[in-house]
Amino acid sequence: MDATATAARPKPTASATLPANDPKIVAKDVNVYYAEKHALKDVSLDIPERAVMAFIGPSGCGKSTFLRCINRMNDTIASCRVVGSIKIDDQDIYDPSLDVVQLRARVGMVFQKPNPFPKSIYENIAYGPRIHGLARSKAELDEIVEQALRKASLWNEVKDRLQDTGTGLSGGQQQRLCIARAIAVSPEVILMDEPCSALDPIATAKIEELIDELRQNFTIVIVTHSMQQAARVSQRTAFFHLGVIVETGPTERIFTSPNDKRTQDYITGRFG
Amino acid sequence: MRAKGVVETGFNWGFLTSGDSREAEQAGILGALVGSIFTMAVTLVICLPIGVGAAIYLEEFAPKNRWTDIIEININNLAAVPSIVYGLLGLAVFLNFFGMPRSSAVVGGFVLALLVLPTIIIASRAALKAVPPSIREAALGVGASHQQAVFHHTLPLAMPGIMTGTIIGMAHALGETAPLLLIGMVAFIVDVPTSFTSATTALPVQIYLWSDLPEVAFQAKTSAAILVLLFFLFVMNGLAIVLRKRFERRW
Repeated sequence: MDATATAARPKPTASATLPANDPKIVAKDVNVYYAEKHALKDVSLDIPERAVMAFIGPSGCGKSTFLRCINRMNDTIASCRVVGSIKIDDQDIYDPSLDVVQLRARVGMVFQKPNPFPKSIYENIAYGPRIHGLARSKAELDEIVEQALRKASLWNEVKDRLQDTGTGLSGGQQQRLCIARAIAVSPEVILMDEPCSALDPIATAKIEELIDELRQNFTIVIVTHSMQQAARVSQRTAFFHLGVIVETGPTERIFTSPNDKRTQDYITGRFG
Repeated sequence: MRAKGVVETGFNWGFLTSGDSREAEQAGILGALVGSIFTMAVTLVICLPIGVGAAIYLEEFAPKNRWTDIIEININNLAAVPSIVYGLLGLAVFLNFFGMPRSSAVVGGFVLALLVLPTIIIASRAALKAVPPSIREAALGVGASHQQAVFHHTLPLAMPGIMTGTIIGMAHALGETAPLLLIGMVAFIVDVPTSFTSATTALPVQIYLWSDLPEVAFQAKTSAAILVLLFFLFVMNGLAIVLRKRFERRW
């Protein structure tokens, strides 16, 4: 239902197509190993600034693994080893001198299952800005919380119950709360790992609408299992299969005239 | 006799407010009760920070290698060591080697702390492990450091479990007799202890002592002392249950 709405909307040319030529993230020959398993093989990819990039592909193809390389979330897995270079704004994020905590503040993440902290809605949003020292006073923090909730289009639904616990919201609201939490630390990039897989179609439509708005200000990378979703929200798509990127390009072209046989088979539903 | 007013039945407050005595009618439980409270205080002060600290380190920070495996196996084994062995250890180390005062609450507390440490470490680790990884990931995802994720999120969520484990451990220590016998807390002590180093006995030891005396009147004293001990054990276990019910699964 949202596909038509998104398609009918006039393309915001200035913000989406122009800077799309300007890569925000440049990955070169990235290889990832989980102990013995070679999960990603020589992945090279440019991710454009202020646009939505979708990763599609069958389960276990490495798209989530690659996503988690971008904010070094894979560091938390002891057996995981990453080789190659990923640069954000020409800065190598696997440089040993780089502060991972700063990186994760610049590259926010939204997870598959909504995972709000079991605290109040306000605390959920305020936690990030507080640990990074983004607000000097209570009033400033209140402002950040409000802005984040507004950007995640959740403000009107929760403004009267900011002290209620975040886990008491509905699934879709929880996921938007998680997006607001990511936005609150003013990241440059937001990674989304199947953000709608646990949501019903109406909540999904809301999140997709939100993603479309957010690309004005953020570089968004989204992993999705739904090809319709990739087609609806993204400007560029990369198709992963068995640990390699088979094909990447503008979403429209990938879905209308894929160059590779495997891409065509996947998007027409012949496997995966 | 009752009709003549020679005897009466009533609550024997003297039992709760006086120390031990050779005379059954004057013997009270206060000395042992205060001794137990002192001992428990020492135990808690030592084993809560060490136990929880060890659990946090092992669960969240320690590298997973052969050394930590060996430590883990040893902690699990220590939890199964008979308590009298801890008494022998306390006798050898605290009394003979360090020359600490005999039959004192400090030494009793130390020995019982050793005894319940494994229990507390195991319970705390289980509580930390039960916090869903998604909460950790969420904290890391907004740019919290590993330490911040642990101390701001994982630990507070694990706290009810840690508290429950600690209370159960303390209840276990409160009822423990054997190790205290070996470090001399079995002496006949009339005075109510006033410091951690003065000669002290503990509730279960007092029960053991009274049960051994031939005078018939001490049978009643023994039963009464058992009721007092049971009362405290029920209170502590009840507290543990309340904590668990109240805070379990908040996510």
